Amino acid sequence: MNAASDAVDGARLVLMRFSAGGVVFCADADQIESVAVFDRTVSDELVWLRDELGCAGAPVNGSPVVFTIKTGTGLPYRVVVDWMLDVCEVAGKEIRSFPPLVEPFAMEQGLWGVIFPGGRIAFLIDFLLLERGKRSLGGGEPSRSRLFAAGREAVSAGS
Amino acid sequence: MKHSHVWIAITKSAPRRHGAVKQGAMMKVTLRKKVLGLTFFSVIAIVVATSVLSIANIVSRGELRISSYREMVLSERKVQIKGYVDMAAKVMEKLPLEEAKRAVKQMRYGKNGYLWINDYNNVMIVHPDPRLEGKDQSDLKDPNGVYILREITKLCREKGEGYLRYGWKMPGQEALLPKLSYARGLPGINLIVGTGVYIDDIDKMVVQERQKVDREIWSAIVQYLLVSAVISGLLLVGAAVLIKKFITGPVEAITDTIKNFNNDLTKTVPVLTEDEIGELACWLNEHISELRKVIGMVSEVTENIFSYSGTISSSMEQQSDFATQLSSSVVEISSTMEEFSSTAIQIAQHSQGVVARADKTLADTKHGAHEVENLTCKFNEISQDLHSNLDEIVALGRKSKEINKIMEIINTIASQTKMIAFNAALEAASAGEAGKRFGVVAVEIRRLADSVVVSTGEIEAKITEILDAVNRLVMSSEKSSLMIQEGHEYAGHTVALLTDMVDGVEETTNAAHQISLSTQQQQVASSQVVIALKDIEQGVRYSTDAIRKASAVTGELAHLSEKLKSLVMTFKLGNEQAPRESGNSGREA
Repeated sequence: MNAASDAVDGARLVLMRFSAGGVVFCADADQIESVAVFDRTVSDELVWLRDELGCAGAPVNGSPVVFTIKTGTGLPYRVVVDWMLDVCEVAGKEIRSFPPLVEPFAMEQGLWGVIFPGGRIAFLIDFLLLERGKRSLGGGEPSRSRLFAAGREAVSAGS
Repeated sequence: MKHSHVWIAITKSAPRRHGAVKQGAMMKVTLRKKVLGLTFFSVIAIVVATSVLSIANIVSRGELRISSYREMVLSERKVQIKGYVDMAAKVMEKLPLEEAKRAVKQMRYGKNGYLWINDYNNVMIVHPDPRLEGKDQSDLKDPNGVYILREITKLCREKGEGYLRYGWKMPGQEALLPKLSYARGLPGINLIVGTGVYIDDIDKMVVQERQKVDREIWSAIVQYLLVSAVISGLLLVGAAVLIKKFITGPVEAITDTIKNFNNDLTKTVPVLTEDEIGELACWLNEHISELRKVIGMVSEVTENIFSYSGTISSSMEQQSDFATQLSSSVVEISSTMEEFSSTAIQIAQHSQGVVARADKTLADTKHGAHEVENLTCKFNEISQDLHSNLDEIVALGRKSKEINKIMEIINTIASQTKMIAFNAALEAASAGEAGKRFGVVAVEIRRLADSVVVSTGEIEAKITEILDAVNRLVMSSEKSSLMIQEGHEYAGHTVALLTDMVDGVEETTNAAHQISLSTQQQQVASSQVVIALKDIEQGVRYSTDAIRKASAVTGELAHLSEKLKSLVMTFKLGNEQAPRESGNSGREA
């Protein structure tokens, strides 16, 4: 146990809980700049999370919501999710990591942990990691967010 | 064996012929003898008849001749004595009376002939015997009682003259001899002159003449009989020849053919004449030909009868089985009819209840018609209320849709509020500790928005349910309206039907009465049917026995057809038999 892990264990994260392709995800509220109702008339540079995660065939349950992601690069990155569920706070120690066998593949999808709010499983997603992973397919170096880095370290230390 | 069958067949088929043959065998007289005998007897009869007639004619001619001879001789005597009397009368007329009397008294003729004179008082005036002169001779009579002089006087008084035959004894003889007298009245002097002669010699002359005539008659008869015998003999010989040639010869030829017939239908009877016997031969040939055809047909028919008898026998067995089944069925029917009879009695009892029920039904139907009319009025009122309710429900549905639109607006606002709350939460999260209170407010706002969304969702669901219910209610109301309209129409029809039904129920009541009577009659009829079925049962039993007997008879028929077949096979049919037998054999094969 070190200071970084203590900080993460003691921190409380504000997460946006939503669903896409029938799967519940949580994202760090710090990565989201705004939330807006999906307007079908506006379709400039929207990324459907269900398409990105390979769940395009699943039915859409609820009203789609557009997340505007803070990229810090000035480039717009707007992700459409199927249904906005709620905003919740979780402690860092409630986060679980993926098994080492599947973790590399999960990381490629921007998934970095698992929580169980209300008894239901929710995957933690890092939009920036997802966005960069997609970009890395074009040759870029993947980067991790602050929370991802801290959480990853805490998980590694705990295991 | 075959000949005995043939003999039986012939004797059975021709009993008359058999009887004739038997009778002929008993008499043992051939047709030739019969015909010859008939001819002989005919000729003899004709000859005898003609002979009898001829002999009778000859004899009668002889008798006539004898009679004529007698008359002739007697007439000569009459003329003789009349001549003497005429001569005496002329003497009496020419001479004076006394001289005339003497002359007459002395007149004689023949051996003993004399004349006498008497008056009309029967007093003898002149007579050769003087003792008689002057005496009344009225009582003079012959031994036969003939008053001689009275009759002579009577003849002369009535006719003027006349002959009288009587018997008288010749003087010196005792024998009574026939005598003929003739007298003639002399009106001028009232005297009668007469004479008489014995005519016994006439009988002798007649006897001699009869002997002569008899000899001639006998000679003529003998000649006649000889000629007749010769002619009859010639006729009989000729008749025998002709009979042989034209009658018995052809008949014997036919007889020989028939005698040697031996069921050979190929034989033909010789036709020797063109008369009835020839026609008989032709007809025999014709009938033999027909018999050949008939025997051929009989052969086929016998085959068919034999096969049919087998079929009939099997059919009779089937009929026997069927009759047995029928008997049992009739017994069942009889028991069923007895049950039916008891049921008919029950029906007759129940029909009384039906009659009462029908009367009550009539009253109920009239009451029902009145109630249905009231129901029609109620239907009209319900229809009007339903139409007004339907309008209200349509208005309610329209308003519910307006509420739904409002709820959509509210929902949109709630969604936007929720988005705002999310953004506020984001802002609060990015503000750190400073934004915690704001975050709490954002959370509450989001919860309120969620609850609004949930509430609006529930309201939408309720409104949707209300709209569905309204739609269903509208459809149900329209359907109810249609049903009420149909009910109204049905009620009208029902009123009409009930009106008709009243008549029908009345007819039903009458029919029920009639049924009651009919069931009573049916009860009687069913009892009669039961009796009839028992008779039928008895009849079926008799029929079964009859079928068994008929089956036995059919077997006997098959046996007889077999015998008939063997009999038919004894006939020779010539060339026609070959294809027929081949046909039979082919059919048997």
